[in-house]
Parts: sequence; structure tokens; C-alpha cells
Amino acid sequence: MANWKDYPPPSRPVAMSVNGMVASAHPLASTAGIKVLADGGNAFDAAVATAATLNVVEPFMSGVGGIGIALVYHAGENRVRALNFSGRAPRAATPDRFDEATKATGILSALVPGNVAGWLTLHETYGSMDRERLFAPAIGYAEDGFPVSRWGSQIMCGMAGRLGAFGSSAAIILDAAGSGPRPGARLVMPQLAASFRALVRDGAETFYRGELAARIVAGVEALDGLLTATDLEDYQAEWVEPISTTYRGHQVFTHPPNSSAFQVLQTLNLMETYGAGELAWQEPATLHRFMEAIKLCVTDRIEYGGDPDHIQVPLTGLLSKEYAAAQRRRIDPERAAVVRGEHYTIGMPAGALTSGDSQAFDGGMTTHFSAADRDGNVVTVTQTLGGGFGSAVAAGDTGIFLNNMGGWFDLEEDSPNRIGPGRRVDFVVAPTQVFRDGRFVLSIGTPGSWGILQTTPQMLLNALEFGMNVQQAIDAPRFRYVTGTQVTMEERFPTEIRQALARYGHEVQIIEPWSAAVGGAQAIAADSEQGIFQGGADPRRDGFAFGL
Amino acid sequence: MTVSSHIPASTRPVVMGTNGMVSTGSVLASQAGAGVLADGGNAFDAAVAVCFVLGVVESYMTGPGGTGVAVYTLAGESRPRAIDFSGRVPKATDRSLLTNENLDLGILAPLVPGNVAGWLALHERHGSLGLGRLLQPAIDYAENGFPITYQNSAVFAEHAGRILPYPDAATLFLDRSGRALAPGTRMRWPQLGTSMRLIADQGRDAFYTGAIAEEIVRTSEEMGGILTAEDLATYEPEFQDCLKIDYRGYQIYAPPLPSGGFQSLAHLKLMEQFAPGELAFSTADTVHALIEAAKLSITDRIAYAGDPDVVDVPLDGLLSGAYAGSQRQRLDMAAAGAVAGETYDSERPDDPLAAGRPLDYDAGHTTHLEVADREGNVISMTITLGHYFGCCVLAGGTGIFLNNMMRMGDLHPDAPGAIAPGRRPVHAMGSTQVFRDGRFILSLGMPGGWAILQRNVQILVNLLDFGLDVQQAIEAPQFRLYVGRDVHIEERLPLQTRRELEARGHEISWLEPWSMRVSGAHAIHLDPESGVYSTGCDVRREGLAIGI
Repeated sequence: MANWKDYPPPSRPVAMSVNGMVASAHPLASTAGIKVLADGGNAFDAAVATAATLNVVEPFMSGVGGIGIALVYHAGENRVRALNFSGRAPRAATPDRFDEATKATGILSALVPGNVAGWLTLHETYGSMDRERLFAPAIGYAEDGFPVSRWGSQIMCGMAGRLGAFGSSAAIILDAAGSGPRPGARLVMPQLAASFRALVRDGAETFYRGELAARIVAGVEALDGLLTATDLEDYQAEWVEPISTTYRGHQVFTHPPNSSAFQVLQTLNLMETYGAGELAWQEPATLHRFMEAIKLCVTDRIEYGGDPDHIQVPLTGLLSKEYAAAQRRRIDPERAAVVRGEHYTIGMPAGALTSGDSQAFDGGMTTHFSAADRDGNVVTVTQTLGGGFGSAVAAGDTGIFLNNMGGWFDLEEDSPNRIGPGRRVDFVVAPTQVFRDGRFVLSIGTPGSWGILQTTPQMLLNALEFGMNVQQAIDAPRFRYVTGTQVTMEERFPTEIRQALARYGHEVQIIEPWSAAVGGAQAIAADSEQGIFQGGADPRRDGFAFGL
Repeated sequence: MTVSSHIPASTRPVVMGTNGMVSTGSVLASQAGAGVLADGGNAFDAAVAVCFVLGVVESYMTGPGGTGVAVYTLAGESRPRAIDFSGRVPKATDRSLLTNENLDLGILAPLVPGNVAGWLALHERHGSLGLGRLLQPAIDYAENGFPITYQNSAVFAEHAGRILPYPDAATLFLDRSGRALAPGTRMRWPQLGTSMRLIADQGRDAFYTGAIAEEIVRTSEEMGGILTAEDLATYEPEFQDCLKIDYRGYQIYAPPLPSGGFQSLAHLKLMEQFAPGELAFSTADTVHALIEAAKLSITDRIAYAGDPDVVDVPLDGLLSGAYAGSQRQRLDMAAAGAVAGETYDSERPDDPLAAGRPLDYDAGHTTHLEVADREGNVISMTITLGHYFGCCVLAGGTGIFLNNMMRMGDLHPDAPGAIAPGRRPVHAMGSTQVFRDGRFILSLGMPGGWAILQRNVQILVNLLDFGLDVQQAIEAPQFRLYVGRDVHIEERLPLQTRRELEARGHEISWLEPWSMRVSGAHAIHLDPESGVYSTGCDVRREGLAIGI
């Protein structure tokens, strides 16, 4: 069996530790989580501190105005649970209220934010420290200022146009001339700090039913948005049963619909139909099979993904090994099939090329993190504002950017993911946990919009099939199938491989060697026998894994 | 300052912090330091915590039985200070009994260890937290276990031959069949934990007059060594003033003798003779000028450097602009000159191809740390055991390796740095700190034997002349000269530059793209406007920078 020695050395050392690990998309957020562990908090506490800090230091990716989902392993209960805080469309969100533009940017695009409910449900269920301690690092950075990284500066400057349209937003991020902050600048967010202080004092109550709720709704009403006090009041995070499959003796868990992470499990099932000897890393036949498997699974997800309260998702069938075997027979070993795209569209003739989708190339403004503690608890979270700064609207004087996850609904009548009052969006994120013989071995996930569901199985195979360590599994070049027979591939795939894939009929488009368009993953592996954690973070973005 | 367009993107983002920074060769050591800063400790407290953790997790590079030097800026002061704890030759040393072999391995090789005295002197003068708190992370890792990292395992495997003859050392890191412990193994080291508990309780006396001293002396006597109780009891570190040069509007400081740091300053003064427009990142002219200027500065260092207690070094002349101007006349931009070597040799080779000193080739040993706190204290410390595992002798049951730093001294009686009883050999450890208008802006240091003094200049020129950021400046290809026209360069240098250098007569050995031989640098930059620290950390080793 191959192991880490058989692959290129990682781009950075694997973080290794014994007392806990936090891997997030920003070094200050990882450190905030680690310090909570060092002070005696558990992984749930660390996750809350990390999430809140990310809201400040990576304000365009996630925050209390956003949504997310979590997968948690509680060592004492010895079970994996999923927590859904992916928001809901406001009651007034009937399809006729939107066009393609308004569902993506501006106040109409905001779903009921779920993150506060999610974080504080995690905390109330399993946390051990008080809220004041957990929000302290975030409040500190928001009040005293946090350092703007080069990547953060690039994004914030790039978003200046969107933010400039809303005075409350521009005041937070842009200077008097309307420009974003330079790298190395210090940015303060006093309004957000005040909102955090309200959360510390009054908990989720203030956000959904109290003073903060009133101020958010006032901000929404001022812009004629849809979100009402009742929408907020009704919202709560929900514990749900995770879904799982097996992959060569590993048990792989992820979140059930309305997350469409089932696509990841389906892909693993399909790849497992090939014998271990039939798959090799960076080998054209393997890549062809992988791409073809992904296309079949994408197609199913578009057909079946959505809010399970409103549509029937035939999960048992989709995740069965028999179905995988049947699907396997549809893969032409010689020829690339045509896929309709990554999401629902109507009226596309089979085999036709579609116009490019620019949203597919922004890499997804989402963030992924995980925390593991010495007792063996592991929290794995993916959360987002949708686009960069979400709707680009900071609600009133709260300093809270509202998401634009409305944009991820479809307007087409036949779509299973059509927007509607109270509906939950087909949420294309996939926090994943892997177990072997009942013991936790790996937590992995990434941002990257629809690409998440394609890149996550690639990283899982890197680790579980090919034996890479966590950093190598994240580093290895990735591909993403876009539409038709177009596949984007990082330039680090050797030329011979790209040429060989072209002979199968794949139209290969090269992207940078390390492209944020294929994600920004974080991972934690554990060896419970030795009591050792290994952490990896994605060099494609600002991620860092730190251990204790 | 201009940034050349072909500077490659760095492999990881610059880590920033507003409340402090720690960058070390180990994620666990960096985290220990960051934890101390977060708990209200200052940079000196954090540095002490880091040093003891490094002694556990990077035990082949440094430890209480080693030596070191530090340059540090006290918040508000307009120039840095230095502390020398580079050890002394035992008083009973008889140079005629020493050979290159017994200076490398075995009980005749150690200097009186300076590390514990240096660390605790810094703590006593500038620290704020108790030793119990500061040593707690190191004691915890030693007693409860720490992960064997990928680099740890590789070093154990590669240098197993050094420790195999020393069963006490070999049993720590090799299994019964002589194989290195695998990455991900959890190692415990209770003897070292006990020694650190003694130091935490009793301070320096535990090491220099107490139980540890007794074990060191007993071991030395048993093995035919010469270290005495008096050598230990009388050892004192020395607080020093730094040397200074002006360089293109910056003030650059390095530690005085017995550090060879003045070589870097003289080298920079010589580089200043080139107009800014004459130099550009990675061009043949620039690399050639850096190499030739290094040769002139190395030659002076060898000719003049010795223990300042006994040797008078003409530093005012060596660091003057007028001298640099005259040296510039000797520097031929068209052809590579030959250098006598890195250390004193009575028979200077006429033949530029004279045999090198293989012992010096492996510059992977020694380690470096940088710490800054929110008040503005910044410390840059280089610590070492000499070669991997020092002389490979563990002091009795203390878990403490003794250094082999005596070999930095010269065996030849005519050398200004000749080994003699009670003297301090000239060594290569020497960080630099840079000020502008009397305010701290940059701290840089690294391990790497005599190459430290060459690489200081390469990285400073990248930062100050070419405008690279701290991470890019460290990642840029580095080189190291040995003897004659022999120069080792990382092969990432642009092809055109490589060809032009060869045409000028340099005899180049191309190192791997990222070579351990030019590794381990850390740098902290302070943005004077925003107060943000930016930190670069070498990717050639396992280091990580952590900000808070």
C-alpha cells in the first residue's frame, strides 16, 4: 500500500500535536481556537471561538449573517451528529419577487441567517466555557483592529464596487476614497464588536428575538428587504442524522439534504467499484474514471438536490452500492460524456456548450474549519455568506453582513431547488468525517461553490486510496468539471496527463498551479492509538493548521 | 523599492499579528510562545518557553546543553542589545589532544553550555512571568508525550550513524533494529522532563551547580572528559552592545564578537557600494556581486576574528564606508575570485579546487526563533548543539545532550580564533535587526553554520533593496560559498542567471530547489504605520509562524 513517501513532499509541514488541533482559513482564527483548547476548552468551544474570529478576520467569507452546517463527533457519546443551520428563505420569498440579479446581490438575496443559532447550539449542547471567553478574541480583533492579509486585501479591494453601493457596508470596509484596505493595514469593526457583545450578554435570543433582531430588521426594512422579525423569530438550528457510506473499510459521514453532500458519497461509491489496483494517482485512466463518476453524480444531484421538506430525495437508492455498480456501467472507459453543468438550467440541448459561468470561477466565498480536542471530540464546519460579503449589505448599524444565499436557489419552475417561502437552499457544502473501526481518522472539507462536491472526493481519495498525509492530500492538484466536456485543471497536472485526457475527449482548461477556484481545504487526521493529530491547510488561500 | 515582476508567489501567506508574533522551527514551540504572549507574558517570557519546547521537539538542534546568542530590542529603545551565551572552552582543555574527529563526537567536544544561563539571564532581566509557567509546556510535552514529526523522523534516519555508538541516545530515537521512529509516533522523555522541573524550581543553579551540574561532571569524568564543576559554576553569559552600520538609510545591527556577525555587516557595506539601479532580484550581476562580496568579507572574518577578550579586531575600519569603497575596487564583476574557505587554514590553497570540509557541508543543525510582543519588544535568538545531537553524549540521566561547539574554534595555534582554555570560539550565530529613523522595523535570523553570515545579507537585500515581503524574501533561492570558486545554489534560480554565473567562472553545485542546507530563517517586520507585525517563516524546515 502506498504511503506519504510515494508522493511529492508537502508544500508546508504537517502540523502535528498531541493535545488538540485547529485548522481554519485564517491563522488568527486557528490560534484563537487553539488558545481556547489550551485554556481547557473543548473542540466545541474552540469551534465557536474560531467561527467568531473568522467573522472578523475573514469578513467576506462568513459571519453571523451567514449560514452553515456542522458535522460533530462527540467522543463521550461515540456518535457523529449533523447540525443544520443553513437558514431559510423569508416567508415573503416567492419566486415572483426575484430576477437573476436581485436573488444574487442586494437585500432581497438574504436568507434567514443560521450561524448564530448553529454556533450557540453547538455551544449550549456540548461547550464548556462561557460565551464571554469564546467571543473575546473576535471582539478584541474587531475593536482593536486586525491585520489585513494580502489575500484579504485583494478580495476586499475587488469587492469595493459591490460594497460601495451600500453606505453601511462601505463605512466598515472602504476608506473615504472608496478603496479597500492595503495588505498590512489594520481594520477595525466596532459595530460588529458591539453586536458580539450583545450575543455574549443575551445569547441567540438577542439575534433572533431581541434587540439585535430589531436592528437587523430595521436595516432590512430600510432597503425594502423581505426578512421580517417573524422570519428571525421562527428560526432554529436542527440536529439531524448524518448520512454515510463506506469506502474500502472506512466509514465516511457527511451532512444530509438540504446539503447536497450526498454527491460526495455517491462519487466515493462509484470509485470504490474499481479495484484498488485499478486506481493510481495522476494516471489518465483513473482521472478519466473520476471525472466520469463525478459527472454522473453531479447530474443526479441537480435532479434530486433540494430541501427534503419539499422534495423527495431518494437517498437510499442514491447511496446504495448496487446503484453505484449500475452507474459504473454507464461510464465509457474510452470517451468523455457530456454533462449539463454544475447546477440546474433549462433548455440545454444535449451536447451543447454553454456560456461560461463566472460565479464558478470566484472559487466560492465560503470557509471551512475544524477543531479537535484531546478527549477526541471533533467539530467540522463549513459556513458561508454566499458571495463575497454575501448580499454586500451590512444590516443597519449592526456591522453584520447579510448573506446572499438566495442566489443559490433556482427560479425555474421545474427545479427541485426553486426558491419559496421558508425553504432551505440546496446547500453545496460537504463537511466530512471519516472513521475506521469505529475510530475517528479524518475530518476534511473545503469551500469552492459547486466545486466542493467534486474536490472533496478527490482529497478523500488522496488520503484513503493513495495514502497521502493530510497536507499532501490538500496540496495535490485538483480538477473541476464545469459543463459539457469542459474540465478545469490546475497547471501542476503534468502535460502528458492533460494531453492523454484530451484524447478521451475532455476539453482541458488550465488554471493557475495553485488555484483558489478549486477550494481552500482544511483537514485534521488523528491516530487515536498514538494520540497524535496531524493538521493540514490549503496553500491556495490563507489557511493554517495549528496544534497544541 | 520596486518589486520585480518575476518574484515567485510564496508557498504560504505572510502570517500577521497585532498583539504579538512567534516564529520558530516547530509548530508546538510557536504555539507555546503564542500561549505565553496571550496569557500576558512578554517576548522574553515567550522566548524562554519556546527554547525549552524546542529542546524537546527539536532535540537534535538545541537544548539546555547547547549554546546561543540573541539580539533584542526593548520596546521604545532606539537600538537593539545582544546577549552572548555561546559557551566557553573548558579550562582543562589541551588543544594538542583535539582532532576533527573528537571535536565532532564524544566528551571532549562540548563547550561549557551557555543556553540555560543565557535564557534565564534574559528572563531575570526582562521577563515577567514565573519560570513554572514558562517551562510548563516543555515539561508537559516531555512527560506526556509529543509527536515525532516528518522532519524529526528524517533526521533520526539520516543521522542514525552519529548516535548508534551512543546507546543512551540511540534508544531514544531508534527502534531495536536501528530504524528511526516513524512520523506520528508519540514519544515521551521523562528524564528531560525531570531536569526541566529542576530548572523551573531552582533556576540556573540547578544546571550550573546543582543536580544537573553533578550529572554533567560525573558523565564527563567517566568518559574521560575535562568539564569540571568549576567550569560550570563560573559560567556567565555576557550582555553586549550591538555592532551597527548605516545601509541606504537603514540602521542595521548585529551582535559583536565572539559572534562573526560583523561579516554580514561588512558584506552589506560592500553591497551598498553598488547603486540601487545596478542590482535587481535574481540577476546574474546581483548574485555574482553577493558572492564576491561574501568572499571578501569571509576572508576578513577569518583573518581577524577571535575571542574579544584576547583579540583586538579592527571593527571600525572593517565596517567603514571608506573600507567598503576600497574593497569594491577588488571586486571583479566579470570573474569569480577564489576564497580560502570558511575557516582558518594555515595552508591557504592556491588551487581553487582544494578539498572542502565535508563536516561543514551539512548546515541543517541549529535552530532559530523570533518573538515580538504587543509592547514592541522583539527578540531574535539562534541556539544550537553544534552538529546534530551535539557531541551525542547525554549527561547521565538528565536527558540533556551536550554540544560540540568547540569545533567552531580553530585547531591551528596561529589562528586568531584558536581554541584555548576559557576562551569563546568565534561562531556563526548572529541575527540582524534593522531600524529606520531610530525605530525598529525588522528582525531576521537563521541557523546554518557559517552560511548564516552569508544568508543574512542575501535575505536583507531581498527585503530592503528589492521590496520582497518577509515570506518571499526567505523563500527566494539562496546560496552558500565554501572554498575556492565553489558555490552551492538552490536550483530555482532562473536558467539565464545560472548560465551567466557559470560563464563568470563560478563552480556551481546545484542544490535541491528547497535545500535544508540554506534553511530555517525567520523574520518579523513591523509596519510602523499600522503596528502590524508580518512574519516570514522558512518552508525548507518544519517551522510555523503564529500571530495573535
